[in-house]
Amino acid sequence: MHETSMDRLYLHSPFRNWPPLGKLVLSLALILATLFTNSPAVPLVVLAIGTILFSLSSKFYLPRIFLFACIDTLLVILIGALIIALLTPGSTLLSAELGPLTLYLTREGMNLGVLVFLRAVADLSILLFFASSTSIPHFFTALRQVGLPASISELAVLIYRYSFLLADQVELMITAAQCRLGFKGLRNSIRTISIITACVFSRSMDLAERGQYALYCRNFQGSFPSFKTPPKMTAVWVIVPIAIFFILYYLGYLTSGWLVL
Amino acid sequence: MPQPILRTENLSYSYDNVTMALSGVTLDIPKGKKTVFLGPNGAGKSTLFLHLNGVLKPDSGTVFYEGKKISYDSSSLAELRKNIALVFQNPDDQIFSATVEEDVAFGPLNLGLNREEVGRRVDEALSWIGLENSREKPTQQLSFGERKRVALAGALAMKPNVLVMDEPTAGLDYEMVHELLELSDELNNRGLTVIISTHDVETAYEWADEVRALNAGRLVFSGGSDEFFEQAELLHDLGLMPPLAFLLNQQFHLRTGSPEKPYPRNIVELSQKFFSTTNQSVGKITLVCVDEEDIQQMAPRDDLLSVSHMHSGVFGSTARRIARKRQLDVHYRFHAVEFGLLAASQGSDFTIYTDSSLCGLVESKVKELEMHTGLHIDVTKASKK
Repeated sequence: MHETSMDRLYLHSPFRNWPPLGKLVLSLALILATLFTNSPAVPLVVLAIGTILFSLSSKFYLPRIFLFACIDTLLVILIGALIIALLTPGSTLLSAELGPLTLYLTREGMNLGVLVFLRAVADLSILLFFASSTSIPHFFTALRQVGLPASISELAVLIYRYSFLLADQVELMITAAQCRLGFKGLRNSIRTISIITACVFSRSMDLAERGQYALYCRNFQGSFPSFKTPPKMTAVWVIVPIAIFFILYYLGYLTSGWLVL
Repeated sequence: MPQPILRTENLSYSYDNVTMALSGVTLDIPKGKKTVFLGPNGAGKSTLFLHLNGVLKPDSGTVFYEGKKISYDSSSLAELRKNIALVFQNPDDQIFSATVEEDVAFGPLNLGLNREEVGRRVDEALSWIGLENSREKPTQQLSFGERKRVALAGALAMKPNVLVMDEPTAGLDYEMVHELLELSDELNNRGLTVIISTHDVETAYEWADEVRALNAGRLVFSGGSDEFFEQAELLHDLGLMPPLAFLLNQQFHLRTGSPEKPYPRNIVELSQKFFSTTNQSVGKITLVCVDEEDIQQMAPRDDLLSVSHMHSGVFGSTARRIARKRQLDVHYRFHAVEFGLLAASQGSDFTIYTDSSLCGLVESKVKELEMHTGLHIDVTKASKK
């Protein structure tokens, strides 16, 4: 199943025993470092760090579904960067007539577009590292340790668990509908999708009711206990990311004049 | 008649105040016995089970646990649910956690036990169901059968006195059905009262000590399984067919005039009743009683005894685990006692690997079968290599 691929990555990640909050602080420090600079050097360094961490975390394996998701995201980022490049005023590098419109590619726009693109790609690599090495339940348990209300973390964990069950149900319903020609033609497809959507809603209610019974049966006392709590964050996990942030910030300062064009 | 561990009196319940899911149900569940609930879909079996541990509160009537009327305040319910564990038909209804061990630990943690005790219970429950190597596996990656086992482990980790399983064999393959039934035998031997609902009459006939039948929310039968299957009209009303062993015995009685009772329930009893044996010599059964230490000490394929593949079987969760881990060349992975007796009755020797704690149970099963069949088989305990 596609949905389980991230879990598989997490289970085999060498960084799974790093404290989730520590990884979060490190990721935030790296992401913020890319945003606090105008130099393309910093995002390039962060991209290198992110790529190395993600590659080690995933042991150089990227499930196909995530590869497609990354390509999809990169395409969106590329289009966004292109629009920025075309809409930012400055000294013209190229111009093109497009019917009644004249498009100007400017030096400033190009530089900004490339910077935005590099930032986004670098941050994506950091997010991939974080997601591939941290389980959702552990992440929310860790957030609870720093004051996230229990109701929110438990709701998130339940949503996480039940989303798989509902996704399985939807997959089954789509297959069943296909077997009965439910997707033959646009009109039929729209009708089938609307039926499936309504059905998923009613099944989710049913599932929730049975889940509640099961919670009672297992002596649920109002909060979800965690058997293996994730490692707690130590001071090192604050000091090192802050140090990395300032190093990158300084690097950005040193290379602030670097431009692509 | 043993003291009932659970009792309901005039239990009535409706989900929508119109259709009665249960109507005046009065029944006893004997302590330390294996009770099966039969009845068509919608008969009220699952609704009744939800009343047994106080998840549903009856519209009228009372539920008693160990002679005491159950209370519905939160501390009484917590105590009750510690003692009565319910395994749902669909494991997805009761698995909440992201990993196997987290889910098995869910109930014990809710009991407020310390982590060492929770860890011990998780280890024990996972070893019973043979998933000790999958403890960190995400629950959504498990097969349906594995999820069923995890759901059962979650219930066993509560160390209940009563284990209630709603259609536990539904959707399982043949081997797993028998493993589960043997596990419930083992748990029952440890003193647990086991209650299951099923549509499988063969299982019900072979496994259960007691039968309760529900139809349209009413209790229509309460008694032993032989008496139940004697009632052809009731079976017809419930849409059930008697088990094959029962029907064959009935035909044998009608055609040969031989006495109908005692009813044969398994292949050994059937064979002994139906066929005269030409081979007068009787083989012997060797019991190899193994325990946890054997798993630690011996390397894979280091056979406990050199026995013929076709003449060996396992009985019990520890023995089964040893057989798996050490890749023992065992042919009968369930029904080992029955097939052992069958082999012995035909003059062949048979080896049964079983848990140390279950040696007594195997011996008493052999004795019971001897009594039913008139066979006299020598059972010896082997020393391990």
